[in-house]
Amino acid sequence: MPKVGVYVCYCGENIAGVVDCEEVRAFAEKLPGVTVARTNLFMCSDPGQEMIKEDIRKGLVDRVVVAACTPRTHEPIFRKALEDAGLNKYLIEMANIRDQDSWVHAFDKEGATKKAKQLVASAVAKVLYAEPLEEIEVGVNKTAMVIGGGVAGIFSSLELANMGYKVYLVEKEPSIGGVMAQLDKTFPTNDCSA
Amino acid sequence: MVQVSTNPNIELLTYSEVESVEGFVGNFKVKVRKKQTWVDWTKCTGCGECMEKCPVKVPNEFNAGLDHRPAIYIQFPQAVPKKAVIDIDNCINCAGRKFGTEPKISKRTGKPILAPCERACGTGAVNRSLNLDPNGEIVELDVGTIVVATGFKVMEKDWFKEYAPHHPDVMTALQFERLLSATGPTGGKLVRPSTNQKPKVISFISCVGSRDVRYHSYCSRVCCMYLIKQAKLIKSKYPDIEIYMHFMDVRTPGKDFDEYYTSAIEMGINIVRGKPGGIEVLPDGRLRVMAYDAGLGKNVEVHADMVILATAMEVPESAKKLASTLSLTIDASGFFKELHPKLKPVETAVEGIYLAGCCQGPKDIPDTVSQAKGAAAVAAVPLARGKVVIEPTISEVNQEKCSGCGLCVAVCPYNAISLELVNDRPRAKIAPTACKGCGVCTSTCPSEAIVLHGFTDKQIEAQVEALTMPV
Repeated sequence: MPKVGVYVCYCGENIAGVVDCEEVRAFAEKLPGVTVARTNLFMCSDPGQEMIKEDIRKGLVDRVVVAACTPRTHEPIFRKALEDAGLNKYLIEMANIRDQDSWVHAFDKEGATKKAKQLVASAVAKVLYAEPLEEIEVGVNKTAMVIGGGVAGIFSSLELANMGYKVYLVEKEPSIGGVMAQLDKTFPTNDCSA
Repeated sequence: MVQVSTNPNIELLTYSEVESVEGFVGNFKVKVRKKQTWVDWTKCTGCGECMEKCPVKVPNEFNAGLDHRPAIYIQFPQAVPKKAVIDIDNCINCAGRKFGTEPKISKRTGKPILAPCERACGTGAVNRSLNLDPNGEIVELDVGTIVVATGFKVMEKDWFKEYAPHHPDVMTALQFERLLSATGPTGGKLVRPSTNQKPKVISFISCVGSRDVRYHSYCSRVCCMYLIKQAKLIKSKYPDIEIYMHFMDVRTPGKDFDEYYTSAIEMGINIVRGKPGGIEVLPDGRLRVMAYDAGLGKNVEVHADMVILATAMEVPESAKKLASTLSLTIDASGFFKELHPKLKPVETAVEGIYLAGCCQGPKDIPDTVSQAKGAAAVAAVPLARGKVVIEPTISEVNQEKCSGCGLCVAVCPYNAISLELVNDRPRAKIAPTACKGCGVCTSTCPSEAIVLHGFTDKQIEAQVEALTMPV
């Protein structure tokens, strides 16, 4: 049977201002498969991550649920923590109790706490069946393309080219320059644009 | 601009458009159409002789329609590359010289009758006997990352009927920019287009189409500043011209920007808070600007010789087409959507494709350059690492269970699935590099032969069950 650790984040006031995180923790602790449930003011902080790593290293936990914010920005951080502690980094699930809960139900604390529990229960149920996965690495063609030859395209191309990469600069008009080339002088220095 | 053409690492493909993009970060295959220029660029020296001889006159896009250009033209004097193209839709085929036809022979001289552009060209870059493909040429390029920097366009003045848009002395700020420019239609001489006389009073109107629920709710971010710039340039050159600037409010949130604005006031430029309700053409051809001055708390009128409209920045149609070619998402204002407004401002939902400049939203040149350099740095990361990591949360076929029906092939939005023969029977196979892990094939497969790693049926069923339990 997998040993799931549930880590509920306060996110300062972002989550804890609405959701009763301690109640969620107590609920999570009783879920099947859960061996450890803890809270932290900021789970993504060093002490928060260290807490997770410590539990993995001690053998208390081999599956992780982080009930916090969005996986879009924070899943890579927690995956790294798993990896550092020697666990396959795909054995984690995030329950987004901030964007999908505390932020949208700010005026219904009781309902938000109930929803947080459901989201955590769902993540725990999913992580129980998680399998270790390995990333695939593929080679890269060391060439860039820039579409549009105005001031943005010109500067992107020059930087990439100066880094040593081949750049194809594609422009639909006969000349590069874009709208910038039409400008006489430019603020705030009143110098010319060409 | 010149730095671009002299940099050995940059290959310029102007007069070219992206037709299709396939593949994924690190390994994109891009088809680019090099449009037909009708002029041999290896021979064209950019001398401009052909432009002198071409009899056609079409509105000159570079001067925002204030003057005309011929059908064979070099876009503008400092063009890079400085090469001519023929605008074939407007070419009138002088001397019956359609492309791909032999010239008629003069009965009098016995010599071939060439079109004026051919005769003018000293290097043979224009040769209408050639049977050139009107569709140009398709080139296929392999690239690791793509930066999209397609920019913006300004709204036309015709939308704003209340501001007498048909009147030649009412112009967009971009037109006025061309009028002030040394390479513009008057060589930089400030005159009223209707009379060719120097104006005595000029009114500027900001937020035309921006911050206006009828058109665009957003602020175009550059108008306050460039209007002030134009006003200052005029005032320093012609101190006797009276200038009125009508602002809803003045937005100067950039380094040294507010100082720039303050100095305009010190120069004697009049700032009026309030958006004019309309413009009437007076019997003498001047313009009656009907405005409100929040400072005075009453209606005011300005009789102006010229009115400059700061029309909004918006997304050109061509960019919308490109968005669908690249599978980019568009936000409510029509601009390309970044992956995260604060933390991933140059990334897009498509890994390996990045944004720079006004295609992502209106911004000024300092911000554009910053973002462009940022986009270059982010776009260089996969190139520098030399490898990309593909998330393993993608689909895989269990060929033992697969019946070879091919339903998954049809539903896959990324063309990632193909049928291969295994022991003479067709079996589905998913290319891991093309699969995005959307799961459409998994839910379509009647044999339950496809597993989406990280989102197995078992996992999803367990989640649903957990969500429906009372807490």
